[in-house]
Amino acid sequence: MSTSFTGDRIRERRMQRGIKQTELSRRVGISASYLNLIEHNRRNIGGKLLLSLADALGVAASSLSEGADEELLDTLRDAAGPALDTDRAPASGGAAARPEREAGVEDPGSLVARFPGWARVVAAQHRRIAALERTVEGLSDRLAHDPVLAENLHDILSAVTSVRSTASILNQTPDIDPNWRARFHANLHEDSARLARTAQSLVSYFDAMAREETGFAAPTERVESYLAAARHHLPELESDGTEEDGEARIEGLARRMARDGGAEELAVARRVARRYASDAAAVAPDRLLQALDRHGLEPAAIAGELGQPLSLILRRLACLPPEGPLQRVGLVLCDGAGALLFRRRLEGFPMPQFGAACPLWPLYQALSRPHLPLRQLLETPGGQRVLAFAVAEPRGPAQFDAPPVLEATMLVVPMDLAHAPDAMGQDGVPPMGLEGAALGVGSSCRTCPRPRCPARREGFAGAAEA
Amino acid sequence: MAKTVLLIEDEPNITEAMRFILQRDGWSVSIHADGATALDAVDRVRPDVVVLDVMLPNRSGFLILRDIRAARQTRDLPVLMLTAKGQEKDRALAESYGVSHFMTKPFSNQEILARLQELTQP
Repeated sequence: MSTSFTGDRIRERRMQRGIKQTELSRRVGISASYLNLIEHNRRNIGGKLLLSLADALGVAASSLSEGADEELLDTLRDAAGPALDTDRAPASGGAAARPEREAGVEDPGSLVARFPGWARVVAAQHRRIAALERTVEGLSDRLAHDPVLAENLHDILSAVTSVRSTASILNQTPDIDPNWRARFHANLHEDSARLARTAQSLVSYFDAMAREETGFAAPTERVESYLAAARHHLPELESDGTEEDGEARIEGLARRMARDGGAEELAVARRVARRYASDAAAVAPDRLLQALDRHGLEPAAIAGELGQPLSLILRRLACLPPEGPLQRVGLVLCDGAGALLFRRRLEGFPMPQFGAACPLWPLYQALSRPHLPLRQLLETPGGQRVLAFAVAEPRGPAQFDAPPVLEATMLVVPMDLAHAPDAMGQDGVPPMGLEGAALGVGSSCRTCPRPRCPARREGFAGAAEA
Repeated sequence: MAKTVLLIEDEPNITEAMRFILQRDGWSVSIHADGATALDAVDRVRPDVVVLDVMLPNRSGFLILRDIRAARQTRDLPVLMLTAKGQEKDRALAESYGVSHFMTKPFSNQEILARLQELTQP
C-alpha cells in the first residue's frame, strides 16, 4: 500500500526524534541499508514492518501511511460512516440514511497498515455500493416520476385487467352466447397485441435507461481512465505541424477512449480529444517546456509569453510528456454550476467520484472571479500539501445578450514537484504561493474529517450523527 | 327490481367484460367514459352504486369523487374506486375524499361482485 511518501515520513519522524538510522533499524530488526532504501522510497512497506517502525518512532501507523494513499484512506473513512463530532449537539429529526460510524473504525490507517489487501477490497466494495446506491436512487426516482414509465405501466395494468376479467368469463361461463364469446375472443386478441407492444416499448426504454444509468461509471470516467493509462499524454494528437488527417486522428482516438461505451461516452471522448488536439496545436510540448524552464512554475508568465489563455496553459501543463518535469500533477475542470467536467487524479489529493468537491477549492473560488488567476497552497486532511493554480474563463466565443458560459480550471502540483529545480526556472526561485499559509481543504464534505469547517454543507454532519 | 350500477371507466374492453359479469349477476348497468361529464351521468342515472376509475379522460376520478361527496343528493352514494395505481398515497387521497371502497387493477370478477353486494346492502 505504501508509495513514495511513506519513506519521507519515516525519515522526517526519525530525524525529528534525533534517532539515527542504525538505531531505528536495530530496533525494528532490519539492516540500516534496508531502512535507507525505505526512507528514500525505494522499497514499499506495509504490514508488520510499518507497525514496528511506527511503534519505534512513537507515532500512529496511520501518520506514516496517510498521504501515501490518501484516496484509499478517504474511501475507507467514507465507508466507516460519518465522523463523530462531539462538539455538536445531536440534531433532531432529518436523520441521514447512513448509519452512524461503528466504534473502532476511527483509524483506517491501521487497517491499511495491517491488511492492505483487505483495505483495498473494502474500499472497492464501498465504491461499488455507492455506485449501486446511485443507480437505485435514479431508478426509483424514474419509477416514481417518469411519465413514459407511468403511461406504459398504466397501459399494462389496464390490458391485464381486461385479459383477467375476460379470460375468467370465458373460463367460467360454459353456456356463454356465441356472439359474446366472439367479442371476448376479439378483445383478448386486441389486449394481447397491446400487451406485446407495451412490453416491447418498455424493454427498449429500459435498455436505453440501462445504457444511460446503470453503467456504473459516468461517461467521463471511461475517458479519464484511458487518459490515466496513457499518463495523460497523447502523442498522436500532438501537432506535427502538418494538420494532416487531424479529424481522422481525433476520431480514431475518441473511439479507442470510448471503447465499448455508448453514444454518450463517444461524445465525451470526441470532446476531450478535440480539445486536446486544439490545445496541442496552440502550444507544442517543446515550446511549453522551454517556457517552463525560463519562468519556472509560473503559469501566468508562461501564458503571457506564449500568448495563450491561462486555462489552456494549465491544461497543457497537465499533459506534458510523462518523462518531463511535471509527471505528477492533478487537473480538474468544472462548469459554472460547479459540476466536475474532467479530472486528472493526483495521488494524495483525492477528488470525489460523485457529487460536489470541497467548496474551498480555488476551482470554485475562481468561478466568482472570472479571468482572475488564483494561486493557493492547499493542505489535505492527510497532511499532503499541494500548490493549486485556478482560473475561470468563458468557454466559446463571446455573444451579445447571453450570459457567459464559464469553465473553471485548476492545476494541482505536489509540494515536492513545486520545490523541485525544474519548477523554479532559470533564476532558481520557487513558485509564488509556496510561502503563505496552507489552506485546509478536503475532497468533499461527505468524506472530510474537518467538522468545524465553515464551508461544510448544512445538514450533513449534524443530521448524520443524530 | 334490479339495482343500478354506473360504471365510469374509459377502457372499452374492461367496460365490456364488467358489463357482462354485472348484468349476469342481475345488475342494471350504465356506462360512462368521460371524466368531464361524469357528474351529469350520476345525476341522470341516479345509480345505487358507482364504480369509478381514477385515470379518466378530461377529469380525474379523485375530483369526481370529491364532487359526488360535496353534493347533497349524492353525499351517501356508495363509490367503489378502481385504479392501476396502488400506491398508498392514492389510497389515502381516495379515503380523504370519502371513497366507500378502493380496489387496484387487476381485480377478480368475483371480488368486484362481492364488494358491490356489500356496498348496496340495505
